[in-house]
Amino acid sequence: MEEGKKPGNRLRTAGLVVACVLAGIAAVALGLMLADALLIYAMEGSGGQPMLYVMESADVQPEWGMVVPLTEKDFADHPALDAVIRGEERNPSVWEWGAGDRRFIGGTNVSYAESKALQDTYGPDRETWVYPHLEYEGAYYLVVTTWP
Amino acid sequence: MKPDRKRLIVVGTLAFIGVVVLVAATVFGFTTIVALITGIDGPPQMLVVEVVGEEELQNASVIHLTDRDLKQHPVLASAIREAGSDSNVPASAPVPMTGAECLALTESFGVYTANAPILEYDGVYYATRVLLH
Repeated sequence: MEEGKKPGNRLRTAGLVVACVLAGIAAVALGLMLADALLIYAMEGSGGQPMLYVMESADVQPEWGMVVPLTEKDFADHPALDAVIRGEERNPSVWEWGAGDRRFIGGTNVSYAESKALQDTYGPDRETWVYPHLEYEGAYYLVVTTWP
Repeated sequence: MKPDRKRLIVVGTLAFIGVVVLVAATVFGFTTIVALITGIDGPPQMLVVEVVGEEELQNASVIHLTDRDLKQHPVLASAIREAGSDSNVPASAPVPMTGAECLALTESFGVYTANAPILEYDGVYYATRVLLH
């Protein structure tokens, strides 16, 4: 009787451990999502004005390898980006101030959630802090977001 | 056996909710403290806008600001609003800004360059400076 019971018990214990580990991972993931939602909720109530700015860069070497072509899907997913690059928020400044090989072509007020989404999608690489250059109709753009 | 399993389910569910809340609270608390200490976009800088008279325009370039410029740069808009609130007295108004906003203002209006241009809006001329903290 005991010989027959042991494997079943062991299986049950193993199952319990695996279930606990999976539940733990799910709980941590849910916790991170909850923290994100909490943070955005708290920021939206703070009265700050997060902005999306698009900077055009004249000095881009293709061998840098961080060139991402912008597609219609990008513009459909992020209407703010569409408005600044080819819509009514396009308001290019002159090249002569600052570094001279870059200029801001426009900006628009976005929500904190949208600012974060744009930063996650088009912002700098988390490890190298290199910004991807977004290519559209032969010009190169960098997306800069503020989180006041 | 049955009450045991019931208890296990209750304890498991509570532990699950506990871990979710604990992780969320830790991440939220940590992020908030880091943001409070350093600012999310790095240490804050101050944009100072001063009303200047026309006699200071001799050698400076002048950028004429449009309503759209101010809409796209809320920091500049609030600095100009505060500086120009009392036009009888030459006023200056420091307004906090993030590093990204400072970059945008530098590239667009040269606020943080050696020969910063004079900005004009609604007939009033403004000189700009950036204070680092």
